[in-house]
Amino acid sequence: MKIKRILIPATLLLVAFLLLNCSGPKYSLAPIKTSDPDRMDIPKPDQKEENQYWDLADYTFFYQVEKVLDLGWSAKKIGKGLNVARGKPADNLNVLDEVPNSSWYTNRHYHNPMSIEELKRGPNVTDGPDYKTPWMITSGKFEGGTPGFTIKDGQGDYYIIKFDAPTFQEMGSSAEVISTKILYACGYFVPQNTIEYFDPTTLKIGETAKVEENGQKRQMTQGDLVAMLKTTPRRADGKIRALASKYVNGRPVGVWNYRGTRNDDPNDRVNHEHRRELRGLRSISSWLSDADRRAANTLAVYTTDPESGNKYIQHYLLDMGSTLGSNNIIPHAPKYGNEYLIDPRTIGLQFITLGAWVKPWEFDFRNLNPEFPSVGYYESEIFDPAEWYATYPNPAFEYTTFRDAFWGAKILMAFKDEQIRAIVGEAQMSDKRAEEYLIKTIIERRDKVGRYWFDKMNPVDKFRFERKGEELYLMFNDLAVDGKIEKAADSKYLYTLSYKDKGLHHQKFVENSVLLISKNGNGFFDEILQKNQFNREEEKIFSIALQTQRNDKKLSKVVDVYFYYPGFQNEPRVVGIKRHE
Amino acid sequence: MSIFIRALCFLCITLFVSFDAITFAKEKGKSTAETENQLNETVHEESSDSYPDPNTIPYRSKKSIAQHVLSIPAKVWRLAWTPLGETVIWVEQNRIHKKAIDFFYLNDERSAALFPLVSLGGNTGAGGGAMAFHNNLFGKQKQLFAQFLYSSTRSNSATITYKDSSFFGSSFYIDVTGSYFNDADENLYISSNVSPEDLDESSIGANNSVKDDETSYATEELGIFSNLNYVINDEIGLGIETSFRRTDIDSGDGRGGDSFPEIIQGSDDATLFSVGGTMTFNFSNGWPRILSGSVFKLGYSYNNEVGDSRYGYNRLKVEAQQFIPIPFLTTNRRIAVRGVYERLNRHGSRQIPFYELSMLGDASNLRGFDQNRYRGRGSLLFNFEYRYPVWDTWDAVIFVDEGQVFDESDKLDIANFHTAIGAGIRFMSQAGFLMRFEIAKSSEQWRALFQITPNF
Repeated sequence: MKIKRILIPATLLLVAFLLLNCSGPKYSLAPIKTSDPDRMDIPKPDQKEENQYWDLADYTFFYQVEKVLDLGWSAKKIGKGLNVARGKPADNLNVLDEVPNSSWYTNRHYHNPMSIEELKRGPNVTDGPDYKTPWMITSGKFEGGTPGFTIKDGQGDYYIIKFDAPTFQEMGSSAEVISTKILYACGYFVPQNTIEYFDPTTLKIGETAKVEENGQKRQMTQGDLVAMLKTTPRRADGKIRALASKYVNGRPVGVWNYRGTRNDDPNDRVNHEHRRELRGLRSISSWLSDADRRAANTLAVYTTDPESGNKYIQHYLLDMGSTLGSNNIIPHAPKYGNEYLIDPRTIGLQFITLGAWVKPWEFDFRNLNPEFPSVGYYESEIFDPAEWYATYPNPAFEYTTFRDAFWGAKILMAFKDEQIRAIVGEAQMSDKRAEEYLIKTIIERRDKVGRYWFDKMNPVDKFRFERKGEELYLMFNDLAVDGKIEKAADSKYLYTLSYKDKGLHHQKFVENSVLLISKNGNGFFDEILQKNQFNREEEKIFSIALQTQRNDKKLSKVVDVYFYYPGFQNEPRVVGIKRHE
Repeated sequence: MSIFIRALCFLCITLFVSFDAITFAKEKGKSTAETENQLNETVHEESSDSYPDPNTIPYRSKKSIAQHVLSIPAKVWRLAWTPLGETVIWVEQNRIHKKAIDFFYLNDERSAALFPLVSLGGNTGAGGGAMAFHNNLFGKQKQLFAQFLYSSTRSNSATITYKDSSFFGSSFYIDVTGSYFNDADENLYISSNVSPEDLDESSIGANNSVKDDETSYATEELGIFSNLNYVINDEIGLGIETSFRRTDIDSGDGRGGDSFPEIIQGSDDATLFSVGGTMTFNFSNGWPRILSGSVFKLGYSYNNEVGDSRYGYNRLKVEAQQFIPIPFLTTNRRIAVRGVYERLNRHGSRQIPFYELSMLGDASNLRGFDQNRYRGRGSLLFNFEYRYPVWDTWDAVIFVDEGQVFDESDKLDIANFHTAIGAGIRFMSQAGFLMRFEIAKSSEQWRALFQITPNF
């Protein structure tokens, strides 16, 4: 009877797991999807307010229980534990395992390398506020972590002006500018953030400028302004450093969540936790120590497409002031990034072990007295990409699969050392030692993230055919070698060319990222197809199973590359990539 | 039960078959036109020229029927918590919590307020009341605090305190408190084999008393207390304490209240005057967690009855605390040890009211026993605690308490120690607020303790 009691639920879960563990399509003969049509004209959506308390409580407690009660999720979790299932793939992938452009994401630096100048410019559409006329203050914010105000410049553009904490000068503003440019190059929508040095006499208080004090709004006065700027450090020339964040085009309609879809947006069809760009953001956030990736730091903007005139919601990431070593006005606490704010795993482990387990970051107090106040707390020794966590559970990050994390890792590995150096330079840090430390740490963390996720997958990508005389080659990039975390001399590639799941030759090792597919051009393919009398298009698909080996050690996971040979001397083209996890 | 399980099996298998069939159809490109449009990556049977432009086909998250069915328990859970979530969101968006707090403050500086109070458990039982304070009355750092709690006509309390932390200069601290206290159920354990005529300190709450000896008495006390403290430096403090109290004792409403012996010393009305001094040596390190070092406290008070000569005694209390970091772990895993010796001596032939005897059995000393379980002219207490952090401001604690009461010091005996063991969780704030939840076990019972004060 007891066995029955165990067997029946186990069978049910197994059935559930089998139900949910079906695999998706491997390739398509259709053109590669490069854009998701989610920028169709929609009616103006409602304002969606942020809710910080419930967001924290929900994702920390209630959502965690909810996941377990979803038997499909539980079955998959068990299946993953038994190594017979994999995580649910993202819902917005094309056959090349890539994310088409959308109102969420634009493929930028990884696929089309940006120049140093483009990286430095980032999302900027202006050079910052116009200095030719006074800056008119339209509203002020005296409460909260970062006091500041909103100005309107002579060009009619609005900017939010924020100041660094006096004890950590340049920290918050530097983090904001650097991470903004990096996230932009990664492909996300971010506002324009620039460092400004302005003369306080540039400021004029507008008639409509209000400040909020003890929950009450009142007219802003010169005294408010003087009080705000009293503790703000000034340069020798009397100018004040500030961050100017330009209002984005369109009408803000609140935040967007990392789970579900927005009811009043017909374009929003993919559950946010199943968007690849949000899942893969976990890798990028871990790199930048961007633990505060939550709904409150997002912005949905009802905007107009200048070409089509369509009005739709564009999705922004905000508040990069709590990235790198900064948590806006104070340095990051070592806890953030290493565990959740309330983390049952670390609490439970310490409780059960009677305190014998010591958290690696528990006695890291560098945040209290950082060596470089303009950097804050940003380190690369304790940092572990596998064990990186947001401030509290982020559903998209929780669903991140190896494929998603690898996708994020390959994007961040596309940033070369000199490019990082150029981007950090945009923060205009006065302490050059601090700047050097920051650059060094960003590079070290980048390599840590890349090394970890590249090791979990097969880091080969950018497949393309090339013909040299009669010989046809499939070329690819080994991203680990490109990123200089592995040496080309230590790398070998094992591959098999197959047709209809049958190998056309024995497995072959090659020393470089060039695979000889055919010695006599297309004749090789024509021969196979004619021999089998296959004429239908879907029968003209070949595949290559590719693995990477470093230092003659263990082989990596497999990447299957599907390509279509259209015949009649036409070039083959890649029609699918399947990355095994 | 078995029918239910079989039905579930049948449902799952049916869903499995139907789901598999749908998946198969999709992969072969034979499903509906809608599915064909959606799954643009599936293999088509026409030439590549005839494929629709995938950039015109939007992505969409979809769940199968099976996935919907399997997620029903999760949906029910979500539904159950939705009202709470909506309420929290409404509260935050309308700043209700801030407005609510503002409502209770009496001025813009937020230095004066009137808050409602709700009490669950404690001396007065479940009740309600109010708390008011003004932090800057008659000058800065001069606080007036008043509190009133009402549970019933026989269980209620009222306190009014004036504190001045800069009395006669910044090194002096004074507070004066007037209090009224009424509790209809306090525990008292009297050995049943002692006749009422022979009752004395040795038979009230003695080490050998048993739980069945429980009686109950009611206390009504009106008092005024004052403390004048002088801080010599960060480590040494001196204090002078005086009090004037009138106490009325009667039979209580709790278990054994009917058998409360009204001829016991102190069972009638008495007015006591007390004056004493304290010395504190604090060589501890760490805040809010004390991580290492020592604390020593010495207290002496002279107590006499006013208007009569029945009661008179002096009280000596010595306390030592030691905090020792675990050498092979880290500084915030530490052993905390406390020893407390208390001794009361009569003035000649004068008596000690039973409610003034040294007592053990409390959330702050001998946990695992009823409140005021043991009483005597003296007591000796040891607390051993292993404290370790489990979260930013949470500590877990494992403890062993040992204590005994005695009438004469020569009656101290290792065999008389009462033991309580337990574990708990403590929350502390940077401001020093502490909340602790502990489970304690003694030879008599298990106890769950919830306190908002530290033990040491």
